[in-house]
Amino acid sequence: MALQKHTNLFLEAVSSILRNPGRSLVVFFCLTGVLLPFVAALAVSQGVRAQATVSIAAGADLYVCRSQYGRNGPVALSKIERIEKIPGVIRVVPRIVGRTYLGEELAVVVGIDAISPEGQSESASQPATNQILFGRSLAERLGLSKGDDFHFSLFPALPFKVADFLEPNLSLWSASMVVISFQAAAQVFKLPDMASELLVYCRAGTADRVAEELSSIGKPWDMTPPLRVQTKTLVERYVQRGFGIQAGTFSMLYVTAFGLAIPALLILSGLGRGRRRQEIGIMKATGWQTLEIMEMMVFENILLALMASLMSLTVAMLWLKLGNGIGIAQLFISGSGLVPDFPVPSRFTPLPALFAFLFGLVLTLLGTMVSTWRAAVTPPLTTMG
Amino acid sequence: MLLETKNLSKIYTLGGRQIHALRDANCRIAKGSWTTISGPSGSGKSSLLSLMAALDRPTSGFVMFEGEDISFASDVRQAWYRKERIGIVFQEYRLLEHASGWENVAMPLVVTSLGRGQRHARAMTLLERVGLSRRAHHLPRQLSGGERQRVALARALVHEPEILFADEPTANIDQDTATRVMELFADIRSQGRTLIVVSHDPRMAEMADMVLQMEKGRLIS
Repeated sequence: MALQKHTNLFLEAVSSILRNPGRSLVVFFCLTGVLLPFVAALAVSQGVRAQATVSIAAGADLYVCRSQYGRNGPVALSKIERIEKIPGVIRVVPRIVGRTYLGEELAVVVGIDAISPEGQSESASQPATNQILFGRSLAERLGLSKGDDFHFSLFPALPFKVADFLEPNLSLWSASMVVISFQAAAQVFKLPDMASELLVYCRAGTADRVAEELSSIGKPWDMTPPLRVQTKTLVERYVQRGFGIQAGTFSMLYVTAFGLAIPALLILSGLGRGRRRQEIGIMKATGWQTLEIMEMMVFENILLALMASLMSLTVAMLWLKLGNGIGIAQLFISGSGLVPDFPVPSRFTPLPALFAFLFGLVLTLLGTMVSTWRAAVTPPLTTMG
Repeated sequence: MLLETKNLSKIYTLGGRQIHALRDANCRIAKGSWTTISGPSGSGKSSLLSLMAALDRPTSGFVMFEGEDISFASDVRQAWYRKERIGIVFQEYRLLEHASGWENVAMPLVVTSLGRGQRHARAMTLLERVGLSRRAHHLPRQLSGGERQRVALARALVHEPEILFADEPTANIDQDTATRVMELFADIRSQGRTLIVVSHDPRMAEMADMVLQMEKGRLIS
């Protein structure tokens, strides 16, 4: 019996939306417009995070460098021999990761020689000496083609030949990357016998023990400089926390903007309020209670918020998949520019969709409930006009 | 006594000026009777009807329905009174512009346990009774004044109220439709229902058991 009344109110809310297409469409499009940047931004954030996680999973078990005043510093190649002797260690690969300007472009330069046993992405991108691999986007910006000659302004004496391009779908970070041999990188950065870090590959289940052993190198009784050892889990945690902070900052800014938008939306929701007041008066005059009117309005708002969040989700998908996140990617991917020249990673999970729905609901409720309640508690003769 | 007003007064404030729409109105309405309230424009007829129908609250005095003060009752109690015991036909019809004829008629039934099919059937029965079943799916703007009046009448009767209030039910319609409305009222009264009608129409006064004459906010007879 009671359930039937609630069903009636729900269906009446549906009818009310359909009966007032103008009013419903204004609210629907306003809500979609407000929710769209939120849904799209969170999808990019989730996509970048997922790609980072995959990259870490495919990487080395341990990352070793020198501790320089508590920060990462270059490590001497002489450490490799000692590390390779630790039980459980399969292979140690030195890597140089640096940054330099190529013209006006700040590029990440990776110097690496070895092919890892796990066969991760580096293996396909292994340059021979004096060969250079360019991220396709970066190469296009610099106007380089395969076979072109190239040299770094840091070390002009060392000529390179563009051997191939790193496709941006390989990973987000490869778009603006340059890969050269380890020796070439050492020459370019003028740090012979040093590496930015050592990638340590271990037998399954031995990484923690190896990490412990590595940490003992450089203790006070050992006269060598201390090493910093980062396990895969630790790196993953750093990355996740970094993206968490980024997404959290965006959400906070969005909520602030959302809060500031409320007064504007209250004014907007005033469109058609006169007729809505009159309708409420008629409902009251024909025996509706204030709570019944409020319940119907809540149903109406839920439906509008649901439709708007689904629409914003759909448009966000199109924006990111077909429009490649023009205008939004730069919020989460530094240096990507307004129009990204690489495929922007995105991932749609249920949580942002749920948040979008809740945001939409709060917005419509704030816009309508107070005026509805005020109209509903006023004598019907006054509200009917 | 079914309905009774005691020292009922209503003062409206308009632009800082107080307007005494109703002053100390006392009347008693018997069950099953037909009461016509007449008087010149602005004499307080509609104000008296609105207060008796609990559409507004009085400034002083009260309205008793079956011995219960309904004028200062809670929102829920007043809603119950309007939903279960009375039906109202407004002078300006007061129909939902974007709802069809039958949806307007069924409006009071949405907040009951009747399903959509039952509400539709009940609304159609009433629309047939007022001769408008063929116009059930038309919007109010697609109906003539007389047809809108009949939709409003069907809405007022759809929940079988004990009292039917009507404010100038024949004011905006042609003579033939007015005659038809009066016949309907006679029919309603013959079913033992109470009619309280505000009207200038002398025929409404002729058919009534009691005529309340108003002037300058006072009941004079």
